[in-house]
Amino acid sequence: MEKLNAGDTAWVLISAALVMLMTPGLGFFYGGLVRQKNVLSTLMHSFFALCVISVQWVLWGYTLAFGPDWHGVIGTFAFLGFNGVGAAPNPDYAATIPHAAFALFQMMFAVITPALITGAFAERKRFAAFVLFTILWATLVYDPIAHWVWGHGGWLASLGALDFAGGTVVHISSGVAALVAAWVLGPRIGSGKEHAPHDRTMMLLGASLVWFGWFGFNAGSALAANGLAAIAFVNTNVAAAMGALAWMTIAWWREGAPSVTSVAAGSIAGLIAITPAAGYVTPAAAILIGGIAAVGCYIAVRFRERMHVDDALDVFPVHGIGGTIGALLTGVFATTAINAAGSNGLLYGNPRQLLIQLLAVAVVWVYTGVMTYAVLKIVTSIMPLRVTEREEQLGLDVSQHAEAAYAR
Amino acid sequence: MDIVLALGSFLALVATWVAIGRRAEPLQLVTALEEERLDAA
Repeated sequence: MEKLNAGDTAWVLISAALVMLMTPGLGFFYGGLVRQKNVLSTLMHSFFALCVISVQWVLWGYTLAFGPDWHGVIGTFAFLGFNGVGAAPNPDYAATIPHAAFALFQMMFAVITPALITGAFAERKRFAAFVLFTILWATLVYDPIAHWVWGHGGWLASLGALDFAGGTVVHISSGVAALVAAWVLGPRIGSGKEHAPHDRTMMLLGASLVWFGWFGFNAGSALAANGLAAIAFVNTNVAAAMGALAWMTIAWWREGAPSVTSVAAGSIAGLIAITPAAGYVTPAAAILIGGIAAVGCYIAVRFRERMHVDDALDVFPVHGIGGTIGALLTGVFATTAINAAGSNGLLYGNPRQLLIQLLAVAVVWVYTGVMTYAVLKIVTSIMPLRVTEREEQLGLDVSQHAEAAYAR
Repeated sequence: MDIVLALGSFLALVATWVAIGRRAEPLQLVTALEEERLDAA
């Protein structure tokens, strides 16, 4: 039996808790950005995802993603119900921590990914349809992609695609799914007019919680309390900071004010883009990645505003485009001087790595787009996706949950 | 055996959510008074 390491185990368990906090943090980030009549429903989307995917992951999600490989495509049912996932390590994934700690850490990634999508269909999706969509999407989209990229024997992992903490698995998949969901659902009533965020203090609190949790997301992905975790931690922080500075600067220049919303959005863009690269690049490269991502995502948001797709909280331009930028720049800036288990990128004499990253990005875009559309059609065949016009006017808090957020 | 029971319980929950989702008229939860208040707000 492999020997457990107390420090590694403690760090991964704490990291799992940090990543868990990101999901309600995301709820507050999104909740601050919607109108007052929809804040509870938005918070509920994230909290419910935490509950339902926690159970789905133990029962069948984990084994589909990380179970013994079947032709590089999917995990088999050996770990159904966490069967065999206990105190002993699984050296295929992490030799010094309990297999259960690894599975728990991965659970939190599976939880937040469908929660990220909810920003696209905020303020108009029926709760029951959201419930069914989340379970089906996690099973048919997230679990297979996680296997391809992170599973032992997964075909993209075998090709050498690099994704340290989820640029493709989490952010591209959720971003592309968000675009498809927003398109299928159609725009909100009054889309195109101003839908002002109801509480920017809540939005910034949420962004702060997400940033804090992201240290577990990225540095925890080292799966050990070691130097690589420290580098990933530094990279995460500095990319978020540079993203915030760059986005704020563009907003100040183009819109006339250094808005609080711009620093929050920029920090999130930087965090997303550094996610696939955090354990493969230098801190200097992380600064560049954060800044480039902020510029790219800002342009994508402006472009999205001209499209007739009401991605309410800009999930696609930030997560989809930010994840894509990060995945591709990983193929540029990666160096084995940081992580010997990784690869060199374009700047270090290995242009092939960029092509592999491009292939992984393209595959995840296409698979997610097609399968998300299919899942939405399945849900539509069972129940309506959207609330009625009257329910939307009244707000989802009252019409879906029979509660109001604030006393009057 | 415990896995079968847990799986069955969860799938029963999902089936319940689907049944409620197909049947429910959430707006019925909103009283006429609340509608008036929200419209006025």
